[in-house]
Amino acid sequence: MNTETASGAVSAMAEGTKTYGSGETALRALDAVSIAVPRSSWTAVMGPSGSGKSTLLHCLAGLERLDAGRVALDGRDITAASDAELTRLRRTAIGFAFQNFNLVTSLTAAQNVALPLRLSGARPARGEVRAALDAVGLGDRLRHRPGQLSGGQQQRVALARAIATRPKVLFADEPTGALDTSSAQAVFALLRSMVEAGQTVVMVTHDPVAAACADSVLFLRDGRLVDRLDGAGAATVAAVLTGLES
Amino acid sequence: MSALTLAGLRERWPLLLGALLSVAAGTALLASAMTVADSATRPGLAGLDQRQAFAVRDAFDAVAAIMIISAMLTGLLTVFIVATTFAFAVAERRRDIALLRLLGAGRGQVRLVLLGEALALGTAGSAIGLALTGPAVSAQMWLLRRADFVPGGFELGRPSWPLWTAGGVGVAVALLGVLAASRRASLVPPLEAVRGGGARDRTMTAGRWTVGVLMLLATAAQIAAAARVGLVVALALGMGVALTGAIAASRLAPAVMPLAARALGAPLRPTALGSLVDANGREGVQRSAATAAPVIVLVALVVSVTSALAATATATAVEARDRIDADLVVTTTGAEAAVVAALPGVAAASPESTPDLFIDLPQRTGGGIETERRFDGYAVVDPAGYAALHPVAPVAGSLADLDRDHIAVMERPTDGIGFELGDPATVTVGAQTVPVRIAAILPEQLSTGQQILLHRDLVPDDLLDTAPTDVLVEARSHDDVAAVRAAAEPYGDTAAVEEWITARTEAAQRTNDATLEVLLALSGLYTVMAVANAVVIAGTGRRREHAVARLSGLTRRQVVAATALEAAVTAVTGLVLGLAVAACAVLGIALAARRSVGSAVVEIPWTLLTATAAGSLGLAVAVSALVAALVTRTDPITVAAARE
Ligand SMILES: Nc1ncnc2c1ncn2[C@@H]1O[C@H](COP(=O)(O)OP(=O)(O)OP(=O)(O)O)[C@@H](O)[C@H]1O
Ligand SMILES: [Mg+2]
Repeated sequence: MNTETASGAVSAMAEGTKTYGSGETALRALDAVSIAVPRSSWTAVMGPSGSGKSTLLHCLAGLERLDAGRVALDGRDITAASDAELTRLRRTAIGFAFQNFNLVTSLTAAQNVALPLRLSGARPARGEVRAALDAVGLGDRLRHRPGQLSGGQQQRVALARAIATRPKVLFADEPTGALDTSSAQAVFALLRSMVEAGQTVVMVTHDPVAAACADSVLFLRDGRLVDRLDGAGAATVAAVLTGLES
Repeated sequence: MSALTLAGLRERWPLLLGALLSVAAGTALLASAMTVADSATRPGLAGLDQRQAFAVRDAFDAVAAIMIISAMLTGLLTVFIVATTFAFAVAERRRDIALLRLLGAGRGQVRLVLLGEALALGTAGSAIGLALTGPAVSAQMWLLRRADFVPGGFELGRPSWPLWTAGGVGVAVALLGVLAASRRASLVPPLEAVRGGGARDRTMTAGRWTVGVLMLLATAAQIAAAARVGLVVALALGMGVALTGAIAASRLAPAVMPLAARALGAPLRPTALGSLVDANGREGVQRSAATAAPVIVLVALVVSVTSALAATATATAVEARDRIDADLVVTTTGAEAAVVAALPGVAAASPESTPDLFIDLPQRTGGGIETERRFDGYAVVDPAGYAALHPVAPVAGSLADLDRDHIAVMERPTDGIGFELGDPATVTVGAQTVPVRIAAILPEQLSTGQQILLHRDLVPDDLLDTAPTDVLVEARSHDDVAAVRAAAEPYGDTAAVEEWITARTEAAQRTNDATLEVLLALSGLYTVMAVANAVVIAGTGRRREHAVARLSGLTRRQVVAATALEAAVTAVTGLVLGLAVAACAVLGIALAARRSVGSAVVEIPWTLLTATAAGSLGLAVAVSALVAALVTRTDPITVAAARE
């Protein structure tokens, strides 16, 4: 990967290829994908189910290794980074808000939000945690355990947990999947304010309206990057998506 | 960090309870066995003469010995059970661990948390165990009293070292148990928190293979050694093979488990429920292996130890039949012996008396010569009569050389003791000590009864006359036996040799049964608790899985049935593996018997075996069904919807 792209982008992939299984059952989840996500931007990833969106996100975040190609994060090549290095990145540079990303059921919402901070050795201030939960509209649910929260509320706690560490890059996989329109709108506003504050968001979504909030939209099909729109409206995004699915 | 782990444990309280209980019970049993053993090392001998003091010391030694064996057994069981429970507890929390990793916990942190947790649980468990030591000692003493093991004057001490030792073992074992598991846990990829639970660890790791194969080799080595040494080591062999074999089997279980589940599940597979059981069995290999482990050790231990002791008793009888060539035994006193020998129809008689005396016998050991004072294990004989009725050729010297200056001894190579012709000894009868030399050495024998033979001239007649005496009698012909027996009747208890041997074997077997109860009752209960523990831990981790199964159309009853069926398959697999281990022990014992008495003795405790098998199967099925019923109480949708 040339240094130009790497320095301009906070997260980037060059010719990334990822295959699951082998022989007959081999499945190419990512096929020579190259992307560069500029600092302080919001990128949406779209595509039909099974097109490799989650895989792309995992590889960008260093949770999965590519079979070929390179990945960079926050200015450094992490293609073959050690576990210690990746752990450090997870603590300092990146946050996750994932589809199936669990909360710790035995901890309250506030404790869940404080968890990553405490894992990195910090003693989170009460206000900090509160602010993060306030930002997702759950300031009054500090002491609730996940079992006492609705699915959408749990998803928002996970998001609050991700933003509380002020990550340089937030990787989100359908972060509004379980939310009603107005809660989703609130989340989008939150993400936008993060981007304005200099953070970067990479978000997988099935919702053209959500994608339209992003600065640019990447389209995947069968593991290949097939299209890209910048600053497009929901209608345009939906049209491209329909084209892909047919 | 620690707050987090404790919170995590609060959530999985059965896990916490299981781990605590396993440490607590192990610590309590260990501490109580050591306390009783310690108390048995200080016999009250004041005011006793030498012989009485010897008898008391002997009785105390027997208590000490059985408690030391018991302590070793519970120690090893604690290691086994705590290690499996803790390792399983860690394995059950992969998803939590992946989540922590995703949120930025490093590998070292994960290990530290788990070790810290083990330390906390180990310490708490040990503390509970030490608090329970009192009741455990009472239970232990109750068993000992029931078995008539406790000599008069036995006083229970309150030494503190058993508490420190057992407590230390409890904590150390908890830490060691988690050491390997925490390493594996630290390798859980963070992605697992996102991609769903599908990806399980490879259950057969290199470490598992290594330990399994090493333990298998250790088992084989013990069998080979037993075949060379003989039955004297039967009890040690039974326990040793049961433990190493059980470790080997439980380590290697994940490799055989899917095959076994497949074979056992075959008849069920055509039904929908059966196919679910079958699939779950293969999916949850770790879970099944953890449940099977205590079943394996329970069955292996109970069957191996029981058959070892039973085989020893039987082999002693075989030996007696080989070494006695007589028709009758008259139990009487020395005074009547001559009369019995002179009865019409008697071809040969061998009076064998045990008057009160003691022998100081120098024995050659690896390190030099040690003199042992023997208050038992001797017989005063008439060499000609003895030689006539005991068809045993000396390995050195001749019985004909026995006189008031010469004695005969039996070889004891298994104890590492040697004798040579001409070795000096002394025999003390009353106030008189007589120097003697060894004139004959007879082959080793299992029975501890007549290890030293003395000529009757060594003992004054008046002493011999009152001494308990067995007169072995051979009738002139088969037809004379009944007449001789009738004629001997007035002089003592008469018995056909076969009856006499059987009666002795039965007496030995009763002592064995008492020993077994003392040895196995508490450790058996501990293992039974471990079975229940594993089933509960495995069961409570499946709340969500059960909810999903119900949402996919299974009724609650079907979920419970499927879980119980799965537990049955697992338990049966454990039983089969445990029996395989027991079979190894039985093989070793048979080979040892062939070395000792020339024929392979196989004693299988069928009743106990059936009871143990049925009991552990029933327990696993009942507990798993109960747990499944409990965790499916809540509406499935609530459970499935909660993002764990
Ligand atoms: N661990 C795995 N092993 C085998 N195949 C996998 C694995 N993970 C993903 N796949 C396959 O890779 C392909 C891409 O999966 P991915 O999760 O990236 O899809 P996606 O675009 O996120 O789909 P969705 O919108 O449904 O979440 C799919 O066909 C999936 O079946
Ligand atoms: Mg996806």
